[in-house]
Amino acid sequence: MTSPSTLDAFDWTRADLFNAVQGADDGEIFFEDSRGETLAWSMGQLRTTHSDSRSGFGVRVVAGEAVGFAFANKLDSRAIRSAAQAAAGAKHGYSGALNLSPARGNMRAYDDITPFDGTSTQAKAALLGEIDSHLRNLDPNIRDVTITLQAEHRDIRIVRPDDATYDDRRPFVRLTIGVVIERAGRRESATANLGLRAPYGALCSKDTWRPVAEDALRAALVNLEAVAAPSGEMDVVLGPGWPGMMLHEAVGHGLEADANRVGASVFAGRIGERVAAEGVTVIDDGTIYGRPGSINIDDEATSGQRTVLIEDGILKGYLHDRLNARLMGAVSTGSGRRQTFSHLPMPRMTNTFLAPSNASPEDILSRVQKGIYAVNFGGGQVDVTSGKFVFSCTEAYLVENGKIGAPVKGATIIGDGERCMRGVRMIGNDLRFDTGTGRCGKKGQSIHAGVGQPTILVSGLTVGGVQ
Amino acid sequence: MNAETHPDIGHDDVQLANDLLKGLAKRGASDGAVAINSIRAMSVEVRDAALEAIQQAEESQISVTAYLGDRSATVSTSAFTATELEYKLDEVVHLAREGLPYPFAGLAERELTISGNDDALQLRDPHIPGAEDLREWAIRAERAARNVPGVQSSKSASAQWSSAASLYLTSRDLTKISRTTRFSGGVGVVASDGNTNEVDGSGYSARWIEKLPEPEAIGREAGTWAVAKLGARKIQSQKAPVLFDKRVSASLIAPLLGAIGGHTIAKGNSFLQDKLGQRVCGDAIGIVDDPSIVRALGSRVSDSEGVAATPTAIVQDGVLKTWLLDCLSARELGLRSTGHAGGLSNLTLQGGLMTPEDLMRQARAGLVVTQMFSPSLNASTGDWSVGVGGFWFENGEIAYPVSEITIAGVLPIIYQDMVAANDMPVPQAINCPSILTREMSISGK
Repeated sequence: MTSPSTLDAFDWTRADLFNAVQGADDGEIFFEDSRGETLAWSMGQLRTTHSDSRSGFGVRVVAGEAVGFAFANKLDSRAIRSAAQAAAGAKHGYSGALNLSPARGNMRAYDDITPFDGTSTQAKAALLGEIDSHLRNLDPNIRDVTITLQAEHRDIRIVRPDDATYDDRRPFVRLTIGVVIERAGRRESATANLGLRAPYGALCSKDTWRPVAEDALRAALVNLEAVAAPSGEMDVVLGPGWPGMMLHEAVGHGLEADANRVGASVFAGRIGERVAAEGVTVIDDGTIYGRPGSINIDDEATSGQRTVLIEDGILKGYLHDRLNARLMGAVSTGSGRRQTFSHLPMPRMTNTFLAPSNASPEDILSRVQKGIYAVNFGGGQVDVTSGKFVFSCTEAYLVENGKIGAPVKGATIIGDGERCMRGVRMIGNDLRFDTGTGRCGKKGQSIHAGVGQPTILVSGLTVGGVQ
Repeated sequence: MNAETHPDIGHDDVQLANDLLKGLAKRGASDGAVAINSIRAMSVEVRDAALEAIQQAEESQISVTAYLGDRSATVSTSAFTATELEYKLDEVVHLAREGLPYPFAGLAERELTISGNDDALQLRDPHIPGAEDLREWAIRAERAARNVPGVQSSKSASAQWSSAASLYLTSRDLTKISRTTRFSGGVGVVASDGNTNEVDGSGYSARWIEKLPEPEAIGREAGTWAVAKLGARKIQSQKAPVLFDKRVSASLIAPLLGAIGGHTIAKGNSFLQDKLGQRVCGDAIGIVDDPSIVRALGSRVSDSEGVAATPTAIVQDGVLKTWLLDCLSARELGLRSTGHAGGLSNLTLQGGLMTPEDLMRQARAGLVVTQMFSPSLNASTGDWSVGVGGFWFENGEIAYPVSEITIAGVLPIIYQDMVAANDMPVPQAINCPSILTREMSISGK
């Protein structure tokens, strides 16, 4: 990669890191130089223009199960020495042998580019205005258009005690468009997103933003027609793409090695057992080109990988970072990810998806007597120990006798991860991924993560509505 | 590992901020603001009394806002070098100039602001704990949790300390200095009955260590809560009264506080849009926001724009008394800032007369909610649904734990007839006792 000048521009003493890690099992120094920009638009006006620069480092020392970690948001050799000494506190008399540095891969999940391609602020502000008027011209009932244009650029460098150095440059741009619409005294809203590992210019093209804008309008119009959601246990058809979030919540988090190592997951100690219906294959793939959830290397310098978690319903493995892999006698799956230099890496997902089968979406819907068809979700959450998860639908429809009916509002879906995976009845042929803006939160750290799935039919989920 | 000193704001920082303001003026800015924030933090996490993680943090950041008439932009950086700061000054003025006008933008009006520091509120505990102190605190909390019968293992116990100092200086002669500390601790455990596992945890924060509950009390609470969840059942879909335990009642009130936020009102997209001066809650409900409580988590002399912070009655006898305004939203609405830039301070929903048990006896049968997941809200209508866990009660007594259910309702209606119990929780930034609502839709089997 083109070396980031800020990370090259200062000197530090390699021995400080070596001394801190000596006698421990693992460790590194993680440097980061990042820049972010946000333009926010609402009520026909540019509300905020923000630009943030942040650089710093984090030193980590891993001894047995203990981790010492110290960081500072400055690039300065004295700060590194003091941090290294602090992190070495994890050793506490421990004596181990330093683990080998990760092998170098040639995985390229995104190109060595920056989002800051010279697109002027004027052009960005004009773009927001153009999106706003495009939408208002399409529908006079629009009361507000909110738009957020964001770019982020992260240069990272990982240096290990043997001086092995790994660089990565991570670009990302995001467009979020929200529409508030009012008709006959009723007000509804909807949002659509697009996230890309690309330069700003990619979002400024009308061919790129128009479908996003029009999808937000379409969904807002659907919501104007929505009736109260039904409640109770029923069949649920999940549409392709973003509804794969259910998989992320229902099984993904439960397969992260940290929870399994301490027995705090429903899937702990169950490799080789059936945990899902036949035909259910779940894969975490950090190598899919261009997807924001993909990684060239994880934040411990392990190359991005494709990991089969569940194959034809049988549990195959967990997602490992280096620490949990060593303690569980496994190898890292390239899942050690961190939000920034000021966070500790943990086992995390990249792009988690359900492999497609051969049913057509129409065939799947035609099998439902009474249920709902969920095509878009807001947020979701899971308790990995009990396996219970919840998520809320932002676009869903009633299904009766195989036919899609009225849209429903405010439907929440709740279930038990394993029971839900065992309840998968049909799997479609239309695998799709999310729109690139998925983020996953765990222990206060938020990172890019993708989800995907074809249309699927799940029985026995609880839908929470008011009817 | 020990942090030897608190971060501080000194004469040098004030000088630097003044120089940056001059740099903005030289570049043609009509107004400007500079914020400098420094934080030091330490945390320790243990599991089964062994060290899991020890962390130390040191961060400083400068952010600069430039106004060119009604155009503005903000930039921030963690690099304090002269070259970087010059670059940032050029950048912020450029971004503002290239942006679009926003007529309501601007610094707080002079007559609303107050300069000075927050020493009188005593938000900094001078005592700096060492890593050993934090470790011992976490081990004590964990031991107490593990001693609760039915607790199978610990997920982790942790204790954190942080100390922050900040400066906010504007071209309208406002200088605001704040120095705070925060001590937090908590523990998570897994309970098991041989068939199923349940996890739960408890944790608290305080400005002063002495204001935090004893680690043993927090540990016992976490253990007791996890064990109580064992054997949870799913219940039939129905409509029933719902008692929001004080653990989660703040989450029931949060949408109300969001709905009266100035920006939501200015956009006309709130389910409480036309309700100022009207009864929006049960008639015994009072909600106040008080920034003046000594040593409390949310206390402040002024809000993030420097507007003097004073106690605000938000709801009195069920009647909505005010919006929550910062300067921008106040200008849009033709009103005056209420000192809520950056959010609420110490919010309290005042306790009622009856115990939660009294309220359950009165309601006879229904749901007690102790955990909430993934709420979904339609901001303009107040349609609200959320995944919950808790207990079913019958004849006024807790009968059995329940899980995998959701509840839904229309918040403006729910708020109208809610009743507060008298069980005020350990003081945190948002304080609500248990709250009984008359009826909600429960989805289960």
